[in-house]
Amino acid sequence: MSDTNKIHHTIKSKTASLKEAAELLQKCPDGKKREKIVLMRETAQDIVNLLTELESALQKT
Amino acid sequence: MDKLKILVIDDDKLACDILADNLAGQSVDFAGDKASAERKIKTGHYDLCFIDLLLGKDDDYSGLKLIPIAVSKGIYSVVMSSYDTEETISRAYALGCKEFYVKGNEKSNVTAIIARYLQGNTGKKAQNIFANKFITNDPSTRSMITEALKYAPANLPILILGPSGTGKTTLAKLLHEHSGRTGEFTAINCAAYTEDLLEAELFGYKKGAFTDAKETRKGKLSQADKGTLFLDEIGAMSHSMQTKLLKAIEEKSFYPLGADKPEYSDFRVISATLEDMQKLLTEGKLRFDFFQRVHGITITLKPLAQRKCDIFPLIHAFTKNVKQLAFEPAAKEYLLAHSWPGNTRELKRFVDIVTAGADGQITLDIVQRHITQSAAPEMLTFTQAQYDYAIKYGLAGVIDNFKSEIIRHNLHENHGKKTAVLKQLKISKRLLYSVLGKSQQTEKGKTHV
Repeated sequence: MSDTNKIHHTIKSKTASLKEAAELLQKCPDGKKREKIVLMRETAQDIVNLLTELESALQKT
Repeated sequence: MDKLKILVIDDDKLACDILADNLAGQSVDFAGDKASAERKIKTGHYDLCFIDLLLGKDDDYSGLKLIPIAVSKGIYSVVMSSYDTEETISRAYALGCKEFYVKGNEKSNVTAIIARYLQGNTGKKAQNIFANKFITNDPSTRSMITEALKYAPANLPILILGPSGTGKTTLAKLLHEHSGRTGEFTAINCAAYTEDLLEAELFGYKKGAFTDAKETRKGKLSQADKGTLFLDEIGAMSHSMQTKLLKAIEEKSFYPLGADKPEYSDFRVISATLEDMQKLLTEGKLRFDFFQRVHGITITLKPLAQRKCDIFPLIHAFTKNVKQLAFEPAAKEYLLAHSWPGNTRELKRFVDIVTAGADGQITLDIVQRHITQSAAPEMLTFTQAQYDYAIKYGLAGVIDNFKSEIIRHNLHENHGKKTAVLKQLKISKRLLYSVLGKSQQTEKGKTHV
């Protein structure tokens, strides 16, 4: 499996999780909300990193 | 419903957090890599597992290798992955996974998965349903309930019709248990409340929202989040309440009394009535749009008189952990001949009375003492005078007089309390005031004579 394929797969996976978490966020009690925001921020950063990686991979081709 | 033991195999903490939220009410364990997942599968006892295929940056889709290990342990294996090429999906199914979902719609997918798992398991427990949960030997009732249970996992609203005491609430609970929904079964009898109280009970209220609101209280709609809301006697609901509830059902959000922020609740509706549904619709008591929202499928329960084969199995069930009864043949015949206008509830009352008594051997005399064959109240008894009046002036006049007499009598019994009359007789304010208005006119007419 190529690395680019894995990056695509992981971006899809993490953006899907981010969307799901956003839908659940409003209904959470405040304590849980804060925990969720931390995880969402980490995931958002992962997505940024993966997009940077994908960009580098595209530049090499 | 017993908690299911579920293993979630995913290295993504946010994905695990989301699944944990959607699996609230179950016993959930987590594994973030292949090694710990394999260890847990082999040593643990899980009912289901959710498997992500890519477990880590340098992983080589080891999730696929976990599928046969889980399957060999009899675990219901579900793949939830964004890697959804045709080849991957085929491979996952070939390795034995039961279901493959693309990540991104966890809320509805998880509910459907749990429900399908439970339904598959229900085959093993099917024999128990009619022996323990909804006791019936009647073939058509069994067939109807078996068919209804197929729709239990779907989000479809269900309407249960049937006379009082036929088991509408029991059936609603059974449907909830087979729905896979993790929330509570919350019931409310709409006929038991005035409109204001019904609104407060359903939607909840904030402290100070009205005079008696001394604390904030969660309503039934909130209590039924991720569960089932059972609305009994929906025919008793006013148009205004039907409109408010319709909005809440459609939008899954509502404002508790006195609240400025909406609350959200994902509830499934099961409703019931003993009234004639067609009549409720044609008379305009039930709004058509509301009816469309509460009726996905309709189940009609037969009165006990039409399934007499259930009488003795029910008696056996009611006396399971108490004194056993023996019926002499004449007593049995009498019980079978009785019309049971109160249905199962009446039978239960009879069993409670005779088991509390001194005799275990039930004779005809004992049965006759507690059950009268003509116990069913006649819906329409009329006098010769009423009949003559109808012939002379038309049926409508007699009916109006009959209604007025009943209403005035009930008002007198309730010491003039109109709210009690509205609740007991299940009539509209308009009818009540129209009768009272005519009474006042009659009184004025008398004083002027």
